[in-house]
Amino acid sequence: MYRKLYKPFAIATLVFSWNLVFLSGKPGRTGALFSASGDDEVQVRQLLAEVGSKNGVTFTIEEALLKGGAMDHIRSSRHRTPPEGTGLKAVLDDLSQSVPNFTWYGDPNNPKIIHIVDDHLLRRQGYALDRVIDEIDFSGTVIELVDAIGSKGIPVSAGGPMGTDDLLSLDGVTRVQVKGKGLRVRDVLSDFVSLDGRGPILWTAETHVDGLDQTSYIRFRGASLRKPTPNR
Amino acid sequence: MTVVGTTQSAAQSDVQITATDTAVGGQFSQPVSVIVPSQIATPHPQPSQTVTGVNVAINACKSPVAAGIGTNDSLYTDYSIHMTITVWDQFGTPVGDLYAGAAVLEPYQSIYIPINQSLTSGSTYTDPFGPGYISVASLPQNDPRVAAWPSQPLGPFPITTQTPTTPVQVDGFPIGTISTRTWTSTSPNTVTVTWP
Repeated sequence: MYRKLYKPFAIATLVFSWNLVFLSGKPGRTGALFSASGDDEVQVRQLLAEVGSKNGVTFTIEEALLKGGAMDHIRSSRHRTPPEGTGLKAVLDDLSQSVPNFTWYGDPNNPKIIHIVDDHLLRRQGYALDRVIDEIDFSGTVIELVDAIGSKGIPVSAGGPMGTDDLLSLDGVTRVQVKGKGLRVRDVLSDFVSLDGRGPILWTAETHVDGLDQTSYIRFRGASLRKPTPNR
Repeated sequence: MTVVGTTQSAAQSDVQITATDTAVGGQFSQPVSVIVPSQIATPHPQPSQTVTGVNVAINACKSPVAAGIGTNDSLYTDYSIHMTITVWDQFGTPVGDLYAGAAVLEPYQSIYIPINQSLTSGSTYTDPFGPGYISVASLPQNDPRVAAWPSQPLGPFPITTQTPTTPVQVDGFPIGTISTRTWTSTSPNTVTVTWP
């Protein structure tokens, strides 16, 4: 699929007339993918993409779904653009102050992974990502991994509600091997996937906190464009 | 004759093209503008409508696009509004038919890929925007459930809201980053788009 990436070009037919004539042009460099473009605020997802790229870290994001509320309330929160050169920890601490329910911590097994967790989900009884898997021996895609975790009676799903824009970044091709005992679900999702060449968000998980549905909807994002090299 | 500009015009008619007739030695000059897709037209559309939902098997070649699921399909119930987006040039007018058929692109990581929509001769493209529900995340395309999916019961209509960030290009030209557009789904099956 990635060999068929679109290469932009532009051709148009020139029509002479006494009126104005319009030509098409060739695109030049587009610069940074995300920029504040003069605005003083950007969405948290943009900010994380920038600081993740600058600092070589990848984020996981666990968001709480409140009835009728946003499915991306952390990612879509707006935050002022930090001054150039602001360190990663300072940015994340600042987000903890300004974005409601934003907490973060570094992955204990991989310093390149930072977990962002809505504090509605902290210490939530039975929360899927805090559950421990007695034993797992798995090989397959990341979507199949979520299904395999679900088959152990843990309420996770690779399906569920999803907006059209989120479909674009959905990763269903990355393969992963997981083998171990007594592993926490969050660690299973994070520590066995190669980060090489991936986007700034490894996965997101959305969990209802105000109803009967306890399912965490897990979406891996931005598959690597390179050949995988296991990180564990 | 096909002519492609190398630098977009900063002002209308700021480029001169001269044609020479070598047989008789005559010359003809014409001021021209090099037009590029540059911005999304305003005022932004803010539709609100009842959506019926449709079951679609989506993948990298469909719209809405799921670029990262490889050769498989996802079984998706699409409740989005198919918005008509108008593209203007750098002077704030429709680009006309110069870019008719050009691909609309959005980023997958750092690379822009087609969303399987193209610009019309009227300077518009269709942008599916709104909620949906994935019933099965990944299936081989030859799985019988894929062929049967369109006639299966619809997935649930999610009651929620989302404000994605979407940088967009047309034919490789950036036309802006959409980051203030929100869809909100409310019972019964209503989707409202706000785009300040």
